[in-house]
Amino acid sequence: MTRDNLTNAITELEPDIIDNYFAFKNELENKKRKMQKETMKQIGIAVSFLLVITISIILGNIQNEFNPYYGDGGLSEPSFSLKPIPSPPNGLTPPLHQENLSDHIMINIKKESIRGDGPLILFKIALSSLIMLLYTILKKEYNKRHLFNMGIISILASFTLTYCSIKLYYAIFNSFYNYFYTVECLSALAGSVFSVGVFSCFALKNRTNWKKAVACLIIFILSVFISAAVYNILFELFFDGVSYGWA
Amino acid sequence: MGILKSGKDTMSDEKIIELYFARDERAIKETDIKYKKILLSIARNIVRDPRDCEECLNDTYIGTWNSIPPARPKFLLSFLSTIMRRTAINRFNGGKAQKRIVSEFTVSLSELDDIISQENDMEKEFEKKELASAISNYLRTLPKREMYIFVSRYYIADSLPQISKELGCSISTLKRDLVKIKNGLKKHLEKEGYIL
Repeated sequence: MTRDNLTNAITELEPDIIDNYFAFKNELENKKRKMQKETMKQIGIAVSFLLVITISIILGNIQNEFNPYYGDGGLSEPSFSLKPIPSPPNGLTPPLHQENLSDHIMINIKKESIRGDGPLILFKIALSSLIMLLYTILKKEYNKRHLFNMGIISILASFTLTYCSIKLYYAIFNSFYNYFYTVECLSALAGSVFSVGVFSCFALKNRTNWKKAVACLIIFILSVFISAAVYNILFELFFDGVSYGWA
Repeated sequence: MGILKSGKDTMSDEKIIELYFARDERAIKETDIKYKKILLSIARNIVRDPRDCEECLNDTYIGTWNSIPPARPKFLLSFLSTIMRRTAINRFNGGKAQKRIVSEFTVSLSELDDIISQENDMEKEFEKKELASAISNYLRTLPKREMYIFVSRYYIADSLPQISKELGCSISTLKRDLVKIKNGLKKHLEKEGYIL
């Protein structure tokens, strides 16, 4: 058999083979177009997340300017000024609950000085991103590019949710004292709903399936709780402290 | 925009074939609108010169016009691409006698050397169609992706970087796949009684 012989035979390949080739080529092109569209969508989502974070920070800083109780803005919680508990009149013992309250506040302040917001936030972002990414990998088949994009989206979604949940936590807590926090509370709530909603929609192939949407949403919220819980456990193991909540 | 046109702006293959049967010259125009790009890409891989490619395209249209009727191809694009490949190879062989052209086609052909012998003793013992049928049968047993690789490389004569880009894999992976496919073809042809 010569090369020409083989070349001529290949030229005369049966039509269904050539037709299958073109069909597959078409399939590949459609897939490529779909992927490009998906990438653009992912970029759009990433930009939206960044916008939400930026707007939240700007809103937080603006309202802090007018807030006499909230000096440093950003992610840190408001500082509490401890007033000394007035000494009881001679011969009387202080009420038990006052002692306990004072101890509790002191422990928290001590703990806070060790812990701070930074490590907690970073840890939560890392772990909840990982959980979300694993969830999306399990739900869908991704190639390398999709995985990379999903990783970025997960980190951004996790960051937004973590940031907004902390804001929300302190905003609700402090709104009892100051009405300025109502603005922050609303913006944080909107940010949380946005990040959860967008991620839930994005992680799903079939967006009309509400059961899957709810499952995705629950896993997404749980991931933040789980990461906080793991952080608290680790913190207690290494710092012998007392956990003070999920946010 | 992909290489294959489809949608509202193009006519269906059945209608185009009907136009050929009605000896309506719009058949060529519609074929040109729908398949010019892909046919030119086949020609370009075999004969590099753009003018030669254009001439091959015209020859393909004339060949199609002369063949339909009586032929009624089930797959119009396969029919057209076979005529185009035949025309382009003839032009390539004609041009090769005058000057040496280094094209992707020559490179792809040289890759087939390792599964064939240089002896011409048996070349007339097998009919072209029989061999084509044996190769087609082998390709039918392959997964879609491998079939695509073979046809891209040895029928369309696409370059390795182009195929690897389309499939989203590395060139080394593609080369490995090609070796596997060629070895498989060699075994298949030997099993069918071909002496390689």
